[in-house]
Amino acid sequence: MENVIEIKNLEKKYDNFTLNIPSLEIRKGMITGFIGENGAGKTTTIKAILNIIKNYSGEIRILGNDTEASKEKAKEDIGVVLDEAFFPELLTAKDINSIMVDTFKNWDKELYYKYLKDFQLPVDKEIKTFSKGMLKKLEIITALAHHPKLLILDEPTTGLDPVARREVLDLFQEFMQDENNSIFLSTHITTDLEKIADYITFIEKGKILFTKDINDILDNYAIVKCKKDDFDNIDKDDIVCYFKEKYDIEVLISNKKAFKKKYNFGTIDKISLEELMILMIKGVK
Amino acid sequence: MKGLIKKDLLILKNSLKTFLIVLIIYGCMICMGTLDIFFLPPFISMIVMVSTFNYDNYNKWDFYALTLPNGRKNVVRAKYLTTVLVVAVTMIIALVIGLLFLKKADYLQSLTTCLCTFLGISLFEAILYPLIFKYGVEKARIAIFGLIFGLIIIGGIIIKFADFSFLDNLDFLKNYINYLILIIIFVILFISYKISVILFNKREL
Repeated sequence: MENVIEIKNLEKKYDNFTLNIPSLEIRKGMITGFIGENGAGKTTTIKAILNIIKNYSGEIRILGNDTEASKEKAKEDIGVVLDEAFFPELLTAKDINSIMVDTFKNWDKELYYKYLKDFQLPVDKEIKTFSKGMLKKLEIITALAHHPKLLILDEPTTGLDPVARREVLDLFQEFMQDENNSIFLSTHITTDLEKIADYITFIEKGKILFTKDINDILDNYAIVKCKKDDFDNIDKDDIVCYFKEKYDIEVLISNKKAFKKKYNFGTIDKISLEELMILMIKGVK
Repeated sequence: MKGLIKKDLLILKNSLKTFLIVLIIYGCMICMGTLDIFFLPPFISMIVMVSTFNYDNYNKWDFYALTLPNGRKNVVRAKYLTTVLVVAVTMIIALVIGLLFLKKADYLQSLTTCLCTFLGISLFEAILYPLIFKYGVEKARIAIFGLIFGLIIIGGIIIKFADFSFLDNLDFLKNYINYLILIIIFVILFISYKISVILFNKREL
């Protein structure tokens, strides 16, 4: 399967943080959710993919491009939504159209104004008068209006109410109707990913823990709640990580069926992405 | 890059109200005789440009701009081209003010004074921009005050202690002085641009 983003042996050192990604592949035609706690390296990874960080080692390929010049050119086909970085707030939605016409070769003025109308966003008002939700919607439609092939989104649904979030997720799914399109999005709202994502990439403390099919995660991973004595009987290879509660121990396992066959104790609960994320961050490995 | 220049011009258009207030304050100072009329255009050119950096900074525009097909070099280039454009427009305003209010003899002399102010302000911008592109406008803001004091002190020392008698030998330049100042303005901005590109290319955002 073709990849839209490929990272090999990436290392970027900061004073008190190191991003280290031996390998990361984001597949074409898929929605990949990027999860991890604050400060885990999500935004830094996105910056690296977008050729914004400096002084790093390793290779980054985006839409098949790996040279500085070609990666810049590839931005014509990428739509980006960042967490808290956008146009100066003195500008209006109309101003943004006028700037983007001269920025993207494929900027689609009609589509942009259609989105503005669909989302009921004012054309002539300064962005600073927008609510947080309205601003996020504007950022998203600005990222979509030049017909990108790849969307890179950093917290795109944060600040949106449930109705607006649904509208935005529908928009992403509409974008994915074209099988050549792909989305790579980071978010803390893991229920959104359960609705739309095909793959999940998990990052913790600057390291990618895994990239997996979301169905594989939800079908095979599970939480086993058991007592200390039972826990001691579990083979260490069957445990991804565990967390000691007051009375029970919560054990994260990655092969539900095999576990059921092998052991005959504890309650096995279905896991949500949020529970998985919390256990993997707070649990003992 | 055209989009980047347009962005700055649209910011300027939308903040016209603020500039009108500044204009009224300056207008009052001129009427009271505190300021020479020719100080107005160069100062406006400076305030206008520094304000665009402030708006950019508030919404982390530099970061967003680099996700678009711009490239770091063009982000810097656009800022300098907008500066040149603003300097050119405010100079034309200065010329018009001169033509409207002054006699011909006074006019030429005042024009030289005005261009010298432009030179001072361009020098200020030429030092300030690389600092902004290296450190961001927040940290560079401290440098702005440092720069103003620095330039005043250095200027004061030069005027007090330097021997300007050599200028008598350059009397032949008198007729060309305005052109010369114009050329110097654009040369220092060009050198500053080259330095800013190098610094911005190395900056972590």
